[in-house]
Amino acid sequence: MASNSRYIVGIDIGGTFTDVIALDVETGHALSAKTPTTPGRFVAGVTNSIKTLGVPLHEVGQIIHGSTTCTNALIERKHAKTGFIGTKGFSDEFDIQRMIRRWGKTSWSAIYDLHQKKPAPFVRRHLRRELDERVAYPGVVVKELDLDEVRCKAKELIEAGASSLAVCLLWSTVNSSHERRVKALIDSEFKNVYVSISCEVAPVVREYERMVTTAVNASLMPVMTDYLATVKEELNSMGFRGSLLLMQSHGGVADPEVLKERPILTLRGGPVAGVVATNNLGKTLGTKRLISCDIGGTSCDTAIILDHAIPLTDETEVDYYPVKIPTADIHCIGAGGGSIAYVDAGGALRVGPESAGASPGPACYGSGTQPTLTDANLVLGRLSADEFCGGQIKLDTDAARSSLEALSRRLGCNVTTAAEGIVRVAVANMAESIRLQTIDRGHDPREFSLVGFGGGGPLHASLLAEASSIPEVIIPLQPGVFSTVGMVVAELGYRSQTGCLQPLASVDPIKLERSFREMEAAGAAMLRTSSTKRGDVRFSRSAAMRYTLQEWEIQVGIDVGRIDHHGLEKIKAAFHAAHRARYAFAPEDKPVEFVTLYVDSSLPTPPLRHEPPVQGDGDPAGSQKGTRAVYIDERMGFVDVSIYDRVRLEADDVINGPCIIEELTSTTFVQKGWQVTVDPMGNLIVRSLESER
Amino acid sequence: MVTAPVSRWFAQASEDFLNLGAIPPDVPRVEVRRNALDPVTFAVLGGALFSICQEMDITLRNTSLSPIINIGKDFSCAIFTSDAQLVAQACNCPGHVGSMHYAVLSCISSFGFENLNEGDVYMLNDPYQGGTHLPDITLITPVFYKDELVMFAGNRAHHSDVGGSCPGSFPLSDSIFEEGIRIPPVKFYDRGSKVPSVISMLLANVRTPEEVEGDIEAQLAANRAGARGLVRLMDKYGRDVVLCAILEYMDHSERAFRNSLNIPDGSYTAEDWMDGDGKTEGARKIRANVVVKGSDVFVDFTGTEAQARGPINSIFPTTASMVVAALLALTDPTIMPNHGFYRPIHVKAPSGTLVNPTFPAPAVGFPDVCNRIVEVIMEALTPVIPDRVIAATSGTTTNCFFGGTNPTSGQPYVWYNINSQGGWGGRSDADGWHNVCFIEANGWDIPVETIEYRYPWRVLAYKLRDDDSGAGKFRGGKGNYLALTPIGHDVQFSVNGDRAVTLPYGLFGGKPGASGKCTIYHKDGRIERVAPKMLKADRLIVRQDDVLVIEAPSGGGYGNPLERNVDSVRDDVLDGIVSIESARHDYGVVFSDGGRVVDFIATAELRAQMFNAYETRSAELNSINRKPYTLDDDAGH
Repeated sequence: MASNSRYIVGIDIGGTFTDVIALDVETGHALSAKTPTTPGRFVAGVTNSIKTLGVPLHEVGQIIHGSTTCTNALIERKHAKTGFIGTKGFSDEFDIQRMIRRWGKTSWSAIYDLHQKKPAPFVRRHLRRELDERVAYPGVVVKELDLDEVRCKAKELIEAGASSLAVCLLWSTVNSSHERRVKALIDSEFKNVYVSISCEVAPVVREYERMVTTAVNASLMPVMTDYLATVKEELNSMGFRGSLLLMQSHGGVADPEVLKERPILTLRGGPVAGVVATNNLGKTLGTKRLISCDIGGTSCDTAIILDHAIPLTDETEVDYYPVKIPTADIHCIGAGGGSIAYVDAGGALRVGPESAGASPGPACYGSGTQPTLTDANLVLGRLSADEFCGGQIKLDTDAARSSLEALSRRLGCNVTTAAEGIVRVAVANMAESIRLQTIDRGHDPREFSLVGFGGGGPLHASLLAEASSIPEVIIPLQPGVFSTVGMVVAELGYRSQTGCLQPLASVDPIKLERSFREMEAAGAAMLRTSSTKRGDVRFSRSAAMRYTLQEWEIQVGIDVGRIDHHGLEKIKAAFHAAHRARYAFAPEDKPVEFVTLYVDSSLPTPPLRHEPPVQGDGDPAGSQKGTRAVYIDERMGFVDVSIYDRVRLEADDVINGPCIIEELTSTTFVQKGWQVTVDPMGNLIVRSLESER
Repeated sequence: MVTAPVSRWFAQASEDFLNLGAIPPDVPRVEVRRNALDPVTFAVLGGALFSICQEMDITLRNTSLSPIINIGKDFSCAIFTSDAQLVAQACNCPGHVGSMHYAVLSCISSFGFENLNEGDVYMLNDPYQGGTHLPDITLITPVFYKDELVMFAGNRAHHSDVGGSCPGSFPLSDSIFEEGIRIPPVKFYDRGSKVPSVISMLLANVRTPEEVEGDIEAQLAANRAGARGLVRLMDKYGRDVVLCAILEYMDHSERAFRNSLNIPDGSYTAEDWMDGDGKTEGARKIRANVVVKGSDVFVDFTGTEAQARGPINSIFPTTASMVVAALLALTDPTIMPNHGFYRPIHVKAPSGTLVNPTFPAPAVGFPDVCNRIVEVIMEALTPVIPDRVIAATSGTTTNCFFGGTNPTSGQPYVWYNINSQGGWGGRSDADGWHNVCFIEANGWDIPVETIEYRYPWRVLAYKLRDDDSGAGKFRGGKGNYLALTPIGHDVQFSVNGDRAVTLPYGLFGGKPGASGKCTIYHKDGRIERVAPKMLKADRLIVRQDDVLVIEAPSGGGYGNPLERNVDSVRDDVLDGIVSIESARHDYGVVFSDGGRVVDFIATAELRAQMFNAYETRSAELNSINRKPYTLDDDAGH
């Protein structure tokens, strides 16, 4: 490998910190660092953090990045003003929204709740236009497209202020010619307007979901394009000659040029990296039930990982808007170190979802005045004023204390009690998020291990585990930048999908094989556009299938080699087996049909190795670096606890809580009643002594 | 021990108030050692019981065949104690769930508790023996743990056809005998093996045997999932811990309901009207007197019209179910629904009325009466909880049924269309929803692409109605407009709607919503308004290339439209939800520049003028809001 592409760099830009990892592909070793986020100045942040590592930018072959730009634009509704063009008679489906009541406070209350809020249509009525055209199943043109009408409607929308246009016509999944001609006309006749067509963005049957997914994608195209232009230009000017890759929602990375057309694929690209990293850790440890818990400056992201698989969902929504793209199933709540604490109208203490972010940041950073979760932890002694972020950031305890004073006056208590309350409320919010994913789905949290990472994960993990009845916590190596591990271990991957609504009995195996080959060729092209890695692209085929007359599909892996009649029979058998495994029965005499075909194309990544710690004798005394007063609980108050230096801990060291373990990127607080063991790879395994019986 | 038939409860509710939480004294009950649960186990089990029901729901939804079940979700899944108390339900139809324990009771009384065996599955659909209406087939599975019957899993699903005189089994019947095959509680599985004659008897009587058979298989799979989940739970936590948590949850829901009822003691009454019974036109009164005493609620339907000759009668279990749904909606919908919160609720429904008919009154069209029961309870409580009630919803299902033969495949089909849903009423703080499923059920619409894939029809429009009804400070939501045409064949068509004459009422000066309509535009140019006085018809013929248009009612407005925020009126005009004319006449908002710009000065003047006129008319308007609205009244505005 050429020396000028010695490093793969993963970068995770959070609201507060930018984390970076550089993997030396020759040795498999990684360097990492954490620096404050520089809002609006991506490249300054990136180059700063790469410089911190001592890695020359010209030796970096790839920068992999999980961008939250699109997510933020969508949540804050700061995306492009988007017009919609659809088939005559159907664009009100934006208002109908599938008719079902489902916006209740709990999973069951929606059927009764008279006051729940139905979301506004993603595209308002005055920005929607209809074309007098019609395609019918299985692809017959019933009414020809009138290009003059297209021109006229597009012009109206652009005049009404739309800078992006989404086009979704009925049955474009079986005949996309009308949609493609609409796009061609708009592309050629209207400059500076972005167009998304549904057959390219989400070729899935069921028109409402396809319409909204296409509109969301269109609304994000200018956002992504502007963002990439800025980033690339700046990186080039700094001497970067490698390639930039972005993380996608399903946990694979891709070339941004591809994503310009499909920005929607990056919606969960930030939070998914931590899930990929947790899954990687689970494989190494052989642990099958993990909860990944990433607590950063602004949010707490949790995901359930069972049997070493990244949990994927095809029912993703953003504020109830369906997003029909393959996505990791992650819960996000606004609870992080920067979450602002306040007293609400009813006199109750609340924490988040508002965050002080990187600027002004928590009060203890020196410029903010509002109390945050980080300020509370500092006042409780759980964070060190001098050792925060390896001493790069000096925290101002007095500022933290004074920010808490006003709050404690309103609550009628002292500063310590207010600080302890802030931590308790934040942890309860996080515990609720975990409850929704475990207890509400029938999983017993007592069978899981919580992997705590992100700047705030190790600080709160044992408290959160206690509140959620999780008996074991794992704090990985370099937990503060653990998400970036996910960036560099993630495969370069692309998931193609295409509609194929057809009974299996009438499928021509040669045509099916051709469809898959076309998707594989497209997938390989997507990957190779930017790939600097060698190795063959791996393909994995699957299909969403169902029994004829069913509405809901099951995904079935297809591994039958070149598809012929015999292969079709095997596919059918695989579907019966999948149906039986999921629902405990399979009417095997009934006809089966295809709905959607998928191809996952991926390129493997070079392995990552961590230097294991020295084997110790179980006594951690050698790594103790002092003591400080830390607040434990109401009964014990402040107690002098031992502070350990994580890098000096040795394998098999055992420490009883309460204790504090400090390292460059994070601080681990272990509550009383919990015990830490250092495993042979250096992970901290924290177990509840209570659950040991 | 012999358990009395469920009809005993229906008769009892006629004489005196029936406490909905009462446990039948003649049903044997399993012993439970009650011991204190730690809070984590309690929380874990509550979630697990709900998620067992959700797993039943997903299984039934994902494996069933007819769109009314696998998309429209006209089904419900629940689990019960051995003495037929509701333990938990999935997020399904309010009308099904509050009534399903009567099906469990009916199985117990028909066969005798001691004769229920492991591996048995019971089936029924007779409304007079624990069912709701004939298309809803209920399967009840006793759940055994270590050879002891500890619980029941049950589900009911609306089938595409159960025979009778009309495709879709929604005829304008004058007795239940025309409505399809009646299934009393029968043993469908006997100790693990299928009783083949039951299913062959059923399939011989329906127009869609393939769908019905597949849907019954899905129902079986759902109950199996429920039973499996419960056994697994008991394996893990122990029988007593699980059963104990169930009892605790009931007490918990009862406490939560009582604590959050928060309605002043008093007696509150309201009346509303159905447009006709399908057989004859003319208003049919539904009257409810709601008495609140502390944290107990007594709902008395005395004064409700005698049972109808046509099929709109709601048997006692569905009536009770909607009382429960209304009170939960008006109290705290986040309370976990189980038998515990039935305990503070008491219902009296005289026999031989619309809300407690006697055999063999037809009952297939009960859901519209169910919708009206919720509304009449809300109307009654409007003076005391004005912020919690909402203006009238569409109040009807506007269900449509199509039967024909697919010209390509030569196969007969029945299509139950549920997409024609109405608008909901305006609320104290927000507009009503456009086009949302009626309150007695809650399902997804059938995507146009799914309709066209499955049925030989082309949908021409699926959109919001274009009307100016339901003006208010918070306006009503729009009903649906569906236009469609059959391809290459003629079709038998039936419709079960309401609110064709009696409009969805507005509240506090809000205007009523729009009535429902159904029109056939014949190929030869003839325009046929279908049953304009009651919107109920069966077996009409829609010919190839005729266009059928169904318009569901829109919701009523809440509050004086003159108090509506001018920006909201402008947004509605921009979006074509409110016309410029209605903006002026109903809202007093004047536009200039062809409707783009609000003329604020003219608006202020017009609003002041209209306010004065409104003050003098408000008493009159309020009284109109308490009478059956008619189209004639509306024309007089």
